[in-house]
Amino acid sequence: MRVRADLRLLRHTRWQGHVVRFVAGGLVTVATGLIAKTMGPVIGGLFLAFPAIFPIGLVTTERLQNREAGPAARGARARRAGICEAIGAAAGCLGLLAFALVLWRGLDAAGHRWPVRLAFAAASVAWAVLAFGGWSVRRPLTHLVSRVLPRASA
Amino acid sequence: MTGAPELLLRFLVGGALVSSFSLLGDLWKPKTFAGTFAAAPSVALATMSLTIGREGPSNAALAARSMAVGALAFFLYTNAVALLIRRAGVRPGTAAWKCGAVWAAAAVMGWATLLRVT
Repeated sequence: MRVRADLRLLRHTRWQGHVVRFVAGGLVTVATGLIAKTMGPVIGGLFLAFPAIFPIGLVTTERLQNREAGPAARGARARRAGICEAIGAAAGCLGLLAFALVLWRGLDAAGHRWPVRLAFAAASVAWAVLAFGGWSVRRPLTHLVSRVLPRASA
Repeated sequence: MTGAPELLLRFLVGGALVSSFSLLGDLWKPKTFAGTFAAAPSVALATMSLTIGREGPSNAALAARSMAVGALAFFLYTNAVALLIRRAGVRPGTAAWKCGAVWAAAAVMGWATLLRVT
């Protein structure tokens, strides 16, 4: 399937879902700052990659798919969508890893430190390249997983 | 971080960035591609942009190094979620919460083996 953006897809979302994500994002950012303040940047940094929003997205997707599916497809369709979202998020994690490594190298005092804005820009580009690049090679990986692991019955 | 205004600022910036990335993800098809935005560095951008000015780039570099370990833990977590749904037929929401221990265990192991000694 070709990648495409479609504004009409926003019709399927509900404003409550966006509010929940806003609140969750705000709370995680506050919590991460407090953890870094009390326990230091090494522990606090771990929580910069804490999967706080992903579970909320999965729950939202599950509800949406169950609402739209007929009685016969309820559950199975949500599970398929959940697997798709998890596979995409795994690709996003590769981007997140690249973002962190570039930022670390760019800001590390031991090396040649980059200007802060340049470090953030380079890290963001690294995220996009690895996340979308990782996504583009997911198909052979998922085929491999499909062969190794049996599918759960619907 | 001390005052309530700063906590409120963190909350607003973090919430805005996270919901923006999630809204961006909602725009795309197929679903696997949209899922990449679920692991966008929204919390990191919000946290670091607010702290780097006061605490300096050295602290941010340390945090970024730890974030790389957290990202590996996140990668294992997303794969665990996909496997649990696929193999055990668990509901996606349930799988996401149940696999939280995978992220925690991987992050602790990563901290103990890669970060604690330095």
